[in-house]
Amino acid sequence: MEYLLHLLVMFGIFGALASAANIDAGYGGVLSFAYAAVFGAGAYVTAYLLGPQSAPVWLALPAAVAVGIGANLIVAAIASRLADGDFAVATLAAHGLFAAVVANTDLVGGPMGLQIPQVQVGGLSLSSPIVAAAIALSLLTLSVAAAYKLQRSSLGRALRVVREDAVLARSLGIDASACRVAAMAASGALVGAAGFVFASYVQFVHPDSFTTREAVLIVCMAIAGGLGTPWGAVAGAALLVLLPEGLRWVGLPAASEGAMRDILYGSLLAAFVLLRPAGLFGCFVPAAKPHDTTVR
Amino acid sequence: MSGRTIELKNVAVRLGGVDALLDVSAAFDVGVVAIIGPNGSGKTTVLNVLSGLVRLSRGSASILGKNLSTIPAHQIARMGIARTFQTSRILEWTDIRENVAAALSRTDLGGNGPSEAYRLAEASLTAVGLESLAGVRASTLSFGERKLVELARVHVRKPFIALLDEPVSGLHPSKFPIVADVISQVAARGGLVILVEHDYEFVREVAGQVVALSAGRLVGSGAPAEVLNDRAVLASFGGA
Amino acid sequence: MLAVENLSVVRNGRHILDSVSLTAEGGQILLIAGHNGAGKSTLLKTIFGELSPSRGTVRGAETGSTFYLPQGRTVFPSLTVSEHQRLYRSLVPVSERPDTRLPDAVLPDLAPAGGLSGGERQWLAASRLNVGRPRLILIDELTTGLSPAWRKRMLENLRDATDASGAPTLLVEHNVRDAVAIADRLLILRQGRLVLDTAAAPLRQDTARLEEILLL
Repeated sequence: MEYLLHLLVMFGIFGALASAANIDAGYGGVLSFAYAAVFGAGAYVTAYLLGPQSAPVWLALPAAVAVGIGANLIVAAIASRLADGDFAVATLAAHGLFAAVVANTDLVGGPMGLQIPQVQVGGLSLSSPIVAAAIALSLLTLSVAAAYKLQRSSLGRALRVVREDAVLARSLGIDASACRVAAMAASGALVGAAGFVFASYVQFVHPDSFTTREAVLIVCMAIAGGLGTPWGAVAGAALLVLLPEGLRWVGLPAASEGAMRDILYGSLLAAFVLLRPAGLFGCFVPAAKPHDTTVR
Repeated sequence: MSGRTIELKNVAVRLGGVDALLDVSAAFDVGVVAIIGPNGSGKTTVLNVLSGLVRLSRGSASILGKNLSTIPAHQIARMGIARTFQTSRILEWTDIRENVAAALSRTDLGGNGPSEAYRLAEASLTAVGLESLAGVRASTLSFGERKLVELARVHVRKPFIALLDEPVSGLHPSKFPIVADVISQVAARGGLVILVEHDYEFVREVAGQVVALSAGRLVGSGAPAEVLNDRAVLASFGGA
Repeated sequence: MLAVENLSVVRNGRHILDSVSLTAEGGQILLIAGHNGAGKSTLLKTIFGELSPSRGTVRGAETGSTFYLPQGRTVFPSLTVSEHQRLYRSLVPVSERPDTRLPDAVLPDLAPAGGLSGGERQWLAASRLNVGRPRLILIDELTTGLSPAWRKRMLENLRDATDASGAPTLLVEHNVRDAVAIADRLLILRQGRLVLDTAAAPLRQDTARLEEILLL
């Protein structure tokens, strides 16, 4: 039972992260692999405030959200300077940078990471599986609602134009940069909040917890579930978080589990690319036109 | 700066190592102006400068007294300037009603929601003769139909200034009156239309003023009959 | 020789092409005109093989020996003009390269194609025609966006290329008034159907009749 609850916590957290990736890539047209770094930033700030600083939760949570927004806006600033392909590759490097920074910062435990005590809110422990599961699932619900609201808003409509043809968007009076920034601020907030939930539940943050592997996984979830729809992230997270665990019931030996999981992810991705590029629920998201850079 | 609708003073634009425009000065107020010239003479560059998509290397360009070099492209559009492109820019994956509705901002709609935008879009599609294709996905449209979709966007915005890049190229002649109508509607409201065109008959029909460019320089300006019959101007086109 | 029989293309219940039949002899230029959306581009794409017909047959359009110039100014933005010309030449086996020269250089050789104007890119894309000896020529809008002087040169160039290669040519053009000067036959498509197939030569002088036809 406790294991199931743990799964739900991970499902909720990763679902929220995938939803953020969907907002950036599916709505904003910005494909970033920096999510684990932004997530890590939120988690580390949470751990630092709740641990060594013994700060209250009502300070730590907004701080994590703010850091998430800030970190994702830095990513947005870099996106505006680089071509799409260069940018995606550059974000893969974000985690190395993040890990190097936190591993060398003694304030947050350096290479050993930071362990924090249990945190209680109104008598409920944030690291108790039931509480954490409830919080994580609430965050997931919130992120789906946010994506849904965004899609139907005028910002969402403007983003659809920006995503496909930024030059056209500008000639129609749409401030393409401001729209992208707004989307990435929203997704950054979600990622920061997810970092808070993670840190307060696991009670431990470490430079190696937030790597490129996790970032790629998050993007895969968003893509597999379907970019451009609010439910896609949920489906993707369900597929990539819950399904591998289902393998255990098939009786695979624990020793090969890690490798098995990578094989599973790889096969799933290949299957999607071949059979259903739009993802489970996705509408096909058009790439920016190749002639976009010229103004003819 | 004076309050001329559009004013270019000694404008020079250097793009990719080439002088696209050299020392171009001109001013326009209202009505319909056609820019003609050989291929590569800088005609589209003029439109790109006026819509804020290309920056000047030298000189100044202003709209209603406002210096364009300080205004980003989307804000220029919001000043009431609509433009079309040589190769139409269409959102391939949505229907053409959505394509036209996308041109309407919240201020245009005055607080009304998307359904008002769709209603206005459909009215404009009817004005250009595409009403039967309103729900059709844009990727299936022909070149000429796409030109008409961009024209519908200009129609729906009721702009003060319209910048049209080759509005009839690729269109069947039976559609020319539709384009002429949209142009005259902008002018009738006291606005200014600047169009780039190679079809001199169409130019004679709609333009009140013609400006000729050759190799980035202004080589003639005046009434259509004058400029289109000016031997010196045509000679400077150099068989190109 | 090209033989198209009862070609139909149906999408979503709509007849984009409806039982179109035509033949073209070697060295003949067929000018294809019609309203926007009448199916002209679809006809070329189906003959070329990019689209599959719902019914009907095409004979005389083998892959590899058909020259197809689609609508739009597709060139590679980062390659220069001379790099394009080298690329085009490399696509044709040496044995098939004609002795004809490329049209007079009107484009700056070292300019990256992305910086050229729309008309210049159109000229560059069309110059690929002069490099080989195709057995069938399909052109979708040759003179769109070109100045009057360049239109004439382009059309004359097409006439020369058709004569040199002895291939049948299908030319889709909106600019019928200029194109009729080089065409042998004029075909009109209307809502997917071929409604007229007539000799072009008499129409060069008879502008009244030409105007009538264009209203079809």
